Amino acid sequence: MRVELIKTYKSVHTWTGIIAGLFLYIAFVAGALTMFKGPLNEWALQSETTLPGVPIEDYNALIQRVLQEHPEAAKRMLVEFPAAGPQAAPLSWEIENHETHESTYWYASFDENGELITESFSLSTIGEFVDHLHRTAGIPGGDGHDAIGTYVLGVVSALYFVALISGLIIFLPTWFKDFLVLRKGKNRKRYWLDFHNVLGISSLPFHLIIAFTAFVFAFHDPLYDALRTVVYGDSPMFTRPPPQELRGFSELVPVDELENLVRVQESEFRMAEVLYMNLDTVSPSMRIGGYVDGHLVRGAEYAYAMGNPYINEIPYSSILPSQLNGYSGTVISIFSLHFGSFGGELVRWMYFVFGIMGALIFFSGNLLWVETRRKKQRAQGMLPQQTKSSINMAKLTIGVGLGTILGIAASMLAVKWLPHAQIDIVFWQKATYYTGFLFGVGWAFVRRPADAAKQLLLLSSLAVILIPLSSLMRGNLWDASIAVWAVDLSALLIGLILALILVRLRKRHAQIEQDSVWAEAQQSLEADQKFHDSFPSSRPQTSG
Amino acid sequence: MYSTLITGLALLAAFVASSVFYLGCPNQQWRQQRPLTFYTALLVSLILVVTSWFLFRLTLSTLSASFSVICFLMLALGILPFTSVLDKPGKVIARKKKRIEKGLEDYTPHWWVKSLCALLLGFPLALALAGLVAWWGPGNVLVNDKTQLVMWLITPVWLTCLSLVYLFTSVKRMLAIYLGLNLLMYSLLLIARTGG
Repeated sequence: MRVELIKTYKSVHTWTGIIAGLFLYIAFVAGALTMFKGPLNEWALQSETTLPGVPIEDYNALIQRVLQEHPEAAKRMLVEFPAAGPQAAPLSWEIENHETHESTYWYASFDENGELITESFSLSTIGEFVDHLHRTAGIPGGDGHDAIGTYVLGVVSALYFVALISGLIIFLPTWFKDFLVLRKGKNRKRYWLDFHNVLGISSLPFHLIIAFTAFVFAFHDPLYDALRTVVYGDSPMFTRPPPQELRGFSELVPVDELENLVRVQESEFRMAEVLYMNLDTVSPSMRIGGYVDGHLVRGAEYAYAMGNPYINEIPYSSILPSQLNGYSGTVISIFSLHFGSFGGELVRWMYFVFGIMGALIFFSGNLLWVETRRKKQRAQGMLPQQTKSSINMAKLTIGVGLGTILGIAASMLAVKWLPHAQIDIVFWQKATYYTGFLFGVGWAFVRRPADAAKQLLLLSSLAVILIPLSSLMRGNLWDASIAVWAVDLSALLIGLILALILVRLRKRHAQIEQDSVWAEAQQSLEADQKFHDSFPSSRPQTSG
Repeated sequence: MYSTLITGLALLAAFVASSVFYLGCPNQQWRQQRPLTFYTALLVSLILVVTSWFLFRLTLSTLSASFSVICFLMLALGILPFTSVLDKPGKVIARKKKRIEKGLEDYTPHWWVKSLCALLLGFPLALALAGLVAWWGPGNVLVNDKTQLVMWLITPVWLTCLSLVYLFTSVKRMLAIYLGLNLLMYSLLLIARTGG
């Protein structure tokens, strides 16, 4: 490898990395939490906004009653079965205002006398919100799949892919010396570079898959359009079922028969939900989702089969785990490898750790960027002025890094404390997130980076520890499920880890050289400098 | 119960495999003197990985088991170096091979030309390649799963073209290759579409 090419790729890596890094950091932190979307949603449930469940044999009656009294539900109606775990309601639908594109959500169930109850409220579903953050990095604007943030993250993912390959290219020539090594000497840059490399190289395949799948998730429509123009032309791309005549809702296939239909092809299928779409049109459709343990599945949790809800057969079943062909097997694998849905809870935990490690790669990448641009103090010389860009990048990294955690914690606290029945909790969970996040970024910019880091760490560890305490105080932990306990215990653990980082940071800060952007209040006393240097540091200074 | 035990054993095997591999690595930081040679460690850890795979396979499907083992190994190798006790790697006989050479005279990176070439010529190239799979890949052209796979193929090919474009030292050669490949691919696609 020629040295000029290495230099070129270093620039490629630096610039793609620095542009994409902080977006990816947010996406990865939120993505790690999204692995536990279901438990988070369950954690956020409040009894005032939860309708009673109904036994499985009453579902058909419920579906029929809702469609009779609220035919507008036929457009898009989600039925969730007891197998899906605790839910706000067994049946829900969404009504979109065509002018404002805002949706209202309706929920339905039976009361104990078998009377239909329907209510419209805004449900917290903090898990969905975290997922939204994962897909948009919190960039506002647009809605649903057309959110601006989705496209921004799509482009960011392409940069991320290039950053990964270029990172590999600059690592390769010295790989023998640098492979899985973590040199903890005095050279701080060396340590962070090793840190960055160990995480990056060991999980490279994971990151490559995440990068290109994220790009496709954002841009699959333009890609299909390009294929239609250039490749397929007049030949159709997908088989579409021919339009059928309108049918009455009473002709819908009963849900228990649906489960049996799927079980013919996937014997261990446990139906968890059915999504009905366009029931009152000539092209009705449904998507049946359910668990198939020990298999790779198409969704984040469920395996899917699709069909026409009026016809007693499953026309599109090749995405069920035991019906995979070469093509669908590859496609399903790609989806599953992004969602971490190929080995139950165990793999979800592994993906959670991958997510955190990924976030640390981007964080350390930014630290390296700052460290590389450090103006060194010559012996006996004046303390050099650090460049504006490196100070700002240090501030931004601290602000975004800790602001994200602070924002999510604030949002979770709001969800726990605010009464969902009286207010629009979806608005408030968003508002508290942005308050926490922007406060973090703002605070980082008004303080010296080192102080901001310590203060924000303290604040976010307190906020995160408050989450389990709030659950305890609200008193709904005792009859809670394992999933809810797991959310609170993990929050406690994360809070303690943040506190631990703070303690270590406090110890290290005394040893940070004055010519670092991470230094404490500036003092150019030579004696002081020598005093600091005389401390041999066995471990590197963790500067963030 | 049974499945928890099996999964536990599978994880244990995979964990030991990655630890053995780490100990055999020239840069291990657990012992002053590396206890295993690289190839011994590799062999032992491969045997353990296969064992782990078979254990996972008892409760998971083939694909699930394979992905799970690979993911766990990646995680373990990413985390093990952080448990190191030494500040620098134990003793190794370093291989002295110079991998970075000097001497590209008058080299300029040509950022714009290369980036634009990869973006504007790389994308059609990836698109045409995916198109060839659509028309010539096994099975009919119109299979829902196949169309999806074809769409998925574009991005990794394109992004790889984009990532590797800066390896070219000559802009002329780069343009010739990208244009030539495009010409070739689109001729083939034309043949495919008109009934080849």
